[in-house]
Amino acid sequence: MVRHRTRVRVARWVRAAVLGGAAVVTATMSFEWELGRELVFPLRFLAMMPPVAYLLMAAVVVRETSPLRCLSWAMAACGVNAALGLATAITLSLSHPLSFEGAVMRAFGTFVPAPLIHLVTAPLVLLALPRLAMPPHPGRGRASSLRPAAAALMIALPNYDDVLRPPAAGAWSPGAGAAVFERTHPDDVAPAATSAMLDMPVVVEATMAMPTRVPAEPMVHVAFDRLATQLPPEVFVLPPTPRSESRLEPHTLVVPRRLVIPQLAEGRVEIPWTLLEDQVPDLALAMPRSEIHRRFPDWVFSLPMDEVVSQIPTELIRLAGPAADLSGIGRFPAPFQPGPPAPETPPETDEPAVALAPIPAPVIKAPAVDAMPPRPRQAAAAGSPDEELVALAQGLASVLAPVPTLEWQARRIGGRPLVCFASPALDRPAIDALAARGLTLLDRLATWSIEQVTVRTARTACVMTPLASGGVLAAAVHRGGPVAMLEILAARARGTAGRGAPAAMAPPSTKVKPVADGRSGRVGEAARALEVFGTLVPAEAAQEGGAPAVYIFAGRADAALAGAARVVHDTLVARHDEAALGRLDAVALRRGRARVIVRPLQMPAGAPALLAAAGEVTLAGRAQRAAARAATLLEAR
Amino acid sequence: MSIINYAAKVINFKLVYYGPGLAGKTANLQFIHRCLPDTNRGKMISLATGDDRTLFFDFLPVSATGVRGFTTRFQLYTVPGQTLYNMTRRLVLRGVDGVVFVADSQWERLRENVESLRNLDENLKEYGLALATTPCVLQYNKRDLGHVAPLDYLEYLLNRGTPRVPFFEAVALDGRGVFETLNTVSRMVLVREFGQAQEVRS
Repeated sequence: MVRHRTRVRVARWVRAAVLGGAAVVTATMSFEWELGRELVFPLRFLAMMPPVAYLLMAAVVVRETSPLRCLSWAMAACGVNAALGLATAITLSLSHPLSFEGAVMRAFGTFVPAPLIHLVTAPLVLLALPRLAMPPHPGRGRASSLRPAAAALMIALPNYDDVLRPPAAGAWSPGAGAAVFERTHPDDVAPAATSAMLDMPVVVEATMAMPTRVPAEPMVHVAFDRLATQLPPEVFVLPPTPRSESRLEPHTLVVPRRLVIPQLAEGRVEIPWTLLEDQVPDLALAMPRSEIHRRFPDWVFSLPMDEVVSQIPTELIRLAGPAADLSGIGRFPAPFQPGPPAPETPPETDEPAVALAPIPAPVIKAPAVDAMPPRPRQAAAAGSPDEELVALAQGLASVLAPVPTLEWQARRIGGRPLVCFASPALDRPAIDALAARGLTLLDRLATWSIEQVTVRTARTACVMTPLASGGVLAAAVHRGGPVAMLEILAARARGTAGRGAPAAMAPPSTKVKPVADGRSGRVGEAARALEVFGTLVPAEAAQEGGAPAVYIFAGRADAALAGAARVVHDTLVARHDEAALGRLDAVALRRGRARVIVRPLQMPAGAPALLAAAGEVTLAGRAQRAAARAATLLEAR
Repeated sequence: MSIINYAAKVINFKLVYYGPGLAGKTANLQFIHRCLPDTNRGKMISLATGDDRTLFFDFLPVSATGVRGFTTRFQLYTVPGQTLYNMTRRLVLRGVDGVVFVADSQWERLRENVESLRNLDENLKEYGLALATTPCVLQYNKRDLGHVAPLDYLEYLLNRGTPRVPFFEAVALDGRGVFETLNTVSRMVLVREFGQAQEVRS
């Protein structure tokens, strides 16, 4: 951070030096080419010109600050002017057969173009050094107040005033409940508000020095880091941290409170980039401001409400109206008297009903297409499956019809049908490959009679359901799609007879041992995070050979669960196509209410590891979130 | 609008738990379901997505005190909070007698609260109702979390109507504030139905 700050400062000084150098070279070349030699001004006039001109300039440009600051700025400009004159004198004496005294005389007076060039250049050099001109903001606190005062030059910061001044062409609608960013005509603004805006100070440091002259406008300060995620990276040349450093008010954005108050009733505060951009120096931007305006015409920042509200006086948000009148309800006793909460029992969902009365497996001939509701259609890239497969797929398609825009492909793997439904935008080959691996997983865990496997990745969720006919139905939607509905519909399609399992293979037996710090430490925390699975006994299967370590959270130290988790690892995790499907988050195995969630862990040492949590779960979403939280805890172990 | 069954001497009221997604509406019903004796509660019906988001609505019938010889039954509904399910929310509001607006106290959810409250107001208007005249209670949920807005600001944000409505701080998962909310809105419904001067039999 310090290095970037230094870099920004050095860049500013370089810019100033280049400007000064250009002036010196221009004056020297003018002398060489005898440009303007015929101009003759009285020396006294030339001597008086810089201080007078700079004082007038200061009076016009920084008129809203103190006279002392005007004077100091004029003196700074005079100093720069003198330095330029000396530099020109040196170059003249070096490049021409002149004595140094003669060169000084020419640089400061007898060669008139030189002092004129210096006169113009000196303020520009100051412009390039905004640090000298920009007064520290009062909100910066003690550190700011301790900073040595420097010559102020507001024009060194193009348009920075715009943030502090009221908008000239329009005003933000001040009324609560009105459209927040609706431009209103200046005449519509209440006179008091307009007056308040006009009274607003521009230079806040001057306000600190002379509090009775201009009252400071209340500002809201927001940590720049809190807004970093809202910044399009292509707009900036610096990464977020140095970008924050490079700002004129490092680490903080200041927003006039008058822009914030009207939006408080909305539950969010949004400020357009155009009102904040001048707090970001050109140096930090990767493109001209006009280009930013063109590309992001409606770019607004949402300010963090906790920071904003904490800076709003309580009296502004305290309601003065009377509280609710509840006197009448005293005549009625409390209708409900709660007893002690019973152990968490699952609410009745429609899923059991689905399991009890499933729709027969649709191996019968599908109804005519015209009579069907819109339903998944065959993917264009499909091969030419046999009639039985087509009938099976069409039957399944009618069951999955409530999920729109699915396309199917069907094929046989080892003589068993695999019908794969997927949203068209998904990577079809990758989904097909995942479904095939899922079929292998179901085979290897056949003794578990798994009813459904749901694989969640960063981009998709794929539900794989073994069918009564011995085949497998796989259906994939985008992450965030209707996964629960897909699970329900796939369960309906599953059929009643259970599937004809192939040669059943039990998961390999694995040695597990209870975790020593099962009650404390990260494993204990993970177990507590997983309490939605019931009472858990944390256990661990150590890494052996290529097999990953498995953290087991189940009712007992379950060796079979560890083996099953490793089967999941072998079939799905290790062979996962991350490029096409995104990171694999979790694999959920379901049998009735029992669920097993397996998550790959990214351990610091890089060794493969898994989390396997098992139990009777009714709130599947909560179980998923609990597993994610537990995985995070274990990864930090 | 309450439904009176004179033959069975039963009055049915409909209470709707409204609010943005993931604010804790279903958690309220689940806690109520756990704490009421079997004799006072029916089966809770819930249809949630894989992420525990309510897909259609939750339903929990509960019976309470008797009034003027009638048994009162409250049918508690939640609505799906997600924006795209507005038609479902509107349907659930049909015939509503009282509303509990469950607000998420977290800073980052404030905007959703405001939008949901406006959505409630709009949907009530579809049935010729208004927030100001419908018994309503605000519940500021998730108060146990660290990153929550202060009560003053939540009130400023959500409870600026005239008259203001009762509000409760709550942690629905633990049951804090759940029954206070339910009892208050139930009594407000009873007051509106029977008036303030009626004799009450417990």
